[in-house]
Amino acid sequence: MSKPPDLLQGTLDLLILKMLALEPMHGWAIGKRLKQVSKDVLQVSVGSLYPALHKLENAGWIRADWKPSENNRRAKFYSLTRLGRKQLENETASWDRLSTAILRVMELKKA
Amino acid sequence: MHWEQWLRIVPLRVRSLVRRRQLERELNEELQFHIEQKTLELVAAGLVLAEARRAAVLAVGQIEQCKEECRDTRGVRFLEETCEDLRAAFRSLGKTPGFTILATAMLAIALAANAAVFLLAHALFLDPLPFGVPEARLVLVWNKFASQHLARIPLSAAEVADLQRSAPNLEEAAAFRYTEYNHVGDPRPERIYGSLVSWNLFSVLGVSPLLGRTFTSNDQLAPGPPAVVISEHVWRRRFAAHPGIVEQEIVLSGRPYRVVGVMPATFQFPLDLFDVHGPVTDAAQIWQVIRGAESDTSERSRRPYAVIGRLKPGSSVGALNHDLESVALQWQEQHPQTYRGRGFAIGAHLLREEVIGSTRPAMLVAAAAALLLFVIALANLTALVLARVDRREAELAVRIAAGAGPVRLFRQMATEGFLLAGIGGLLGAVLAVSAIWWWRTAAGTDLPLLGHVSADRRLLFHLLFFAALAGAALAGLPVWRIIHRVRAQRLSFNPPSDDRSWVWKRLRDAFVILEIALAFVLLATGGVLTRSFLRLSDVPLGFDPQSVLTSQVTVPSGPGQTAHSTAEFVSTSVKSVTSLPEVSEAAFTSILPLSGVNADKSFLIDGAPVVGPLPDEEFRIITPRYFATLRIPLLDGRDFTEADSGETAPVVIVNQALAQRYWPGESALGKRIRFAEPATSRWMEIVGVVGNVRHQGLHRPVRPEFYLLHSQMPFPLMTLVVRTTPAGQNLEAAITARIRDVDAEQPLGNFRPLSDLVEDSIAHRRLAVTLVNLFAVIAVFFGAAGVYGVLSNIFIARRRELAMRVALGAPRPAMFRLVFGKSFNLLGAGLLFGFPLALLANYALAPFRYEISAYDPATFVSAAALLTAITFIATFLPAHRAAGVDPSQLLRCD
Repeated sequence: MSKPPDLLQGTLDLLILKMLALEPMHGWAIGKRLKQVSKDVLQVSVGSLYPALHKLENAGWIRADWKPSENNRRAKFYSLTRLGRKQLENETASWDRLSTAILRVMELKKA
Repeated sequence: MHWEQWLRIVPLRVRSLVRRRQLERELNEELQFHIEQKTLELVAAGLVLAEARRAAVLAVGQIEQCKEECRDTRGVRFLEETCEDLRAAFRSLGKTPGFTILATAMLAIALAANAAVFLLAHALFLDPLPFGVPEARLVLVWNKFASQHLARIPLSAAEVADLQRSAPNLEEAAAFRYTEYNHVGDPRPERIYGSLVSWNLFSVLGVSPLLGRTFTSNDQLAPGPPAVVISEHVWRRRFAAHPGIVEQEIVLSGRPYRVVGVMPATFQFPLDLFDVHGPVTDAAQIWQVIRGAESDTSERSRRPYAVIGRLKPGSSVGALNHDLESVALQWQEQHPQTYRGRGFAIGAHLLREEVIGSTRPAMLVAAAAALLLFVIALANLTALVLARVDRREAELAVRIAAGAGPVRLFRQMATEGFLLAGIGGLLGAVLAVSAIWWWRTAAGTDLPLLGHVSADRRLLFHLLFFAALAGAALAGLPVWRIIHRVRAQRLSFNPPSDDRSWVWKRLRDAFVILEIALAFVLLATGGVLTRSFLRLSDVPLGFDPQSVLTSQVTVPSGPGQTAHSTAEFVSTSVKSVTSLPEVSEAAFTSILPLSGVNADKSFLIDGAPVVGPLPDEEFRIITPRYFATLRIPLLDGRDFTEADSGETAPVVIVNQALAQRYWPGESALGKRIRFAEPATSRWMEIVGVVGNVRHQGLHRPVRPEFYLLHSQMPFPLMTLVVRTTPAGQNLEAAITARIRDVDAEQPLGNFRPLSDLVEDSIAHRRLAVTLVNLFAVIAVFFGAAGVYGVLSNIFIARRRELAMRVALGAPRPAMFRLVFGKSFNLLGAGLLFGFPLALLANYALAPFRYEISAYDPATFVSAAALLTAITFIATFLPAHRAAGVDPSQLLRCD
C-alpha cells in the first residue's frame, strides 16, 4: 500500500512529532487526531503510520510505553523524547522555510 | 550523528537484536489494538460485531507487509540476516564434514606456514637493529685478497688509521675485536666475553650509557689501568648493581681495569648476530678501549680488527666503496709487498646485509615455498568450492523459484566462503603459534636474528590479511559462478553435466593443473636441495668431529707469568685432562675448524727470491697431539712433541695444500720459512705434513695452512679439544675440575661438541632444506586432494552418462580407463607446466646447490614418479566408483 501522494517525503514524520508534542498517544489516536485536525484532508493508512512510528522510535526521537487506553486495553503510547523535541524544532524550522518559499513562488505566479 | 543520539540508538539496536521475540509480540499486539479500535468504531457506526471485524481487517489492509516494514526500521536487518546465513553456512558445512575438514585443514596449514615464515623474514629484514643511528648509515668494512680467495679479512691498526683519514664518505669508523676476560669472584670464576673497541665506537653507533660515560679520546692515551665499559647484565650479576661502580677499579684476568660506564641491557655489540666472531654466541659484556700495543700501527699485516663505520649523512655504500677503491690503490702504491698482486680490495657492506648474509637466501627460499604452498592450497580450495556450488545447483534453483532474491543467495554463498576462511585462519593461528614455539625451543636459535622471534600483533595482521584473501577467493568465485548461471538462465534442478561453458569447464581443470605444476616445483627444488645437502654432509672434513668436546681456556698471561710458566700450564693441563679414564686425547688450538675465525701471516721462504707479493697463508697455534685428537692424518714427517719448546729450534707443520702450492713435486720436509714481520723472527723448519681440513665451510675449497707450536709462539686465547671414549658422557665437570687443579681461577664452561660446529656451519642450509621439503610434502597431499576432488566431481556430474554407457554394455575396464584418462591428462599438463618452472627455481637456487645440476635428472624423474603415484592413488577411488556404477539404480534416482 503506497503512502498518500499528498504527503511530502518526511512530512508524515513531522506531523507525528507535532502531534506527540501535545501529549502521548497511541497509533490509532494519532491517525484519528490527524484526520480530525486536518478536517479529513490528511488520512494516513496503517501501512504508512506504523512503519513511520517504528522508524521514529528506532531513531530515538520518540519512545513507547505500554499503558491502559481509554477503554482500559493495553496500548502502545508514544511520547516525544528530548532528542525528538530538538528534531521537531529543526524540522519545523525547515518546514517553515520550505512552505514560505513555496508560497512565494505561488504568489509570483498569481502576480 | 550527534553523540547523544548514538547514546539512545545503541541500546535500541541491542534491544532489536536481543529482544526479538518481545518486539514481535508487541508489534502484533499494537496492530491488533488498531484493528480492535477500528472494529469498535464500525460497531459504533451500526455494524454487527462479526461484520465489523471483517471490515476492520479489510480496512487495515496488507498487515504482513506493514509488519515487514516495521521490522525494517529496527536497523539490524543486515546483522540478523548475516546471523541466519552463518547458521545456514555452519549447517551446510556440517553436512559435508569431509569437505569441511579437508578445506579448513588445508587452509590452516598453508596460512600457518605462510605466517610463520613471514615472522621469521620480518625478524630478519625489518626489525630495527638496536642502535641510535639509522642502520642505512652503518657499514662493516673488510679487506679482500681476491687472488687468494680471501674475503672478509679484518684490518690492521695501521689500516684502520689510514681508512679514517682517506675515505671522505666515511664519517667515522671504529675498530673492534673479540676478547674475553676471566672474572674471579662470587660464587666462582666466570668467563666474560668482551670486545676491544676504538674509543669512538659508542658515538659511531649513536648509543649512550646507563651510568657514567662512554669512552673519550683521552682514554686511549691516559696512563694507568685501561678504561672499560661494562654491560648492565654484568653490572647486576657480578657487581650486585653497585651504584658506585663508575670510576672504580676491577680486576679481570689478573689485571686492573677502570670502569667508566655501564651500558643498558638493550645495547648489544658486537651482538650474537654478527658472525664475525664465529661460534661465540654470547654477546660481548665488557668493552675495553683500544690503546697502547693494541693500537700499534707498525705491523701492517697483523689484522685483528673488524671495522664498523658510519656513513656521512646523504652518502651511500656505493659512494664509500668508490672511495675505498682509490684507498686500495694508494695502499698498493705505498706498500707493494703487502698488497701487490694479491687482488687486494677493500669493501664496505651494509651492517644488516652482513648480519643476515648467509641466512637471507635460505629465508627467501622458505618464503617463496610458503607462498607457493598458499597458492596451491587456494587453487585447491577454489576448485573444491566450485565443485560444491555445482553440486548444490538444484537446491539453489529451488530457492530462487521459491522467491529468494539473488542478492540473498550471493550473500549466503559468500558467508560460507568467509566462514571457511575464518575457521581456517583460526586453526592457522593455533598452528603458527605452535610452530613458532617449536622454533624457539628446538630449532634455528643458532641463526642470527632469528632466535628471538615471537608471536605478536604482526602475526595476527598477517594471518588476517591472508585469511581475508582466501575468504575473498572462496566467496567470490562461487558467487561469480552463480551470477553466471543465473544470467544464462541455466540454473536447473539437475546437476550440470556437459552444458557448462568452456571457461567454467576448464577453470577447475586449470586449478588442478596449477596445483600439480606447483607441487612439482616444490618437489623438484626440495629434491635438489636435499641431494645437495646430503652431498655436502658427505664431504670429507679432514678431521673427525665425533666425540670431541671443546672449551675455551684463557692461558694465564698476566703480570708475573713467564713463557715458561705458560708452557707449563698448557702441558700440565693436557696431561691432567688426558689422565681421565674417559679421555683418550687432549690438546689446545688457537682456532677450531669451521669456527668462522681465521688468522693469516705473510712469510718468507728460505732460498726463494722475493718476487712480487709475499706468500701469505693461514696459521693455527697448537700443542702436540692436536692432530691425533682431531684425527687429522699425519702424511709425512712428525708431529710436534714435548721435546720441542721455546729453547729448541723453531718448527712448523704444514698441510698438504700448502706443501703442494710452494713445493710441488718435492717434499716440504726440511724446508724453512719465517714471518715477514717482525724482521727479527727466526727461521722455522718444516717437520711434518698433515692432511687438509675444510676450515672455511663444507662447500669451500681447502686452503693452505700452517701450524705453529704454542710453546714457541704463546697465545692467550686457546681452545681445549678433548677426544672422549665412546663411554665418555657428561665429562664437562670432570674436565673443569682437572683444569682448576692446575689454575684455580680458570672460568671454563661453555663446552661444545665439535660436531656442533660442523652442524652450525650448515644450519641455514638445513633450514631451507627442511622447510622446502616440508612444504613439498604438504603440496603433494594438496595436489592429491585436488585431483581426487575434481575427479569425484566429474564422476557425479557425469554419472548418468556413465550409467547409460554401462547399461548399453560398456565394459567396466572402459569406465576405469575413462576416469584414469582424465586424471592422467591433468597430471601430464601439470608436469608440462611445472617442468620449466621447476628448472627456473632450481637455477635461482644456485647458492644452495652443491655439485648437483639444476636439471638433476634423478630428482626430476623421482619427483614426477612420486606425483604420478599419488595421482594414481587419488584417482583410484573415483575410478572404482565409476566402474561400479549400477545403472538400474542411478537412472531411476534422477
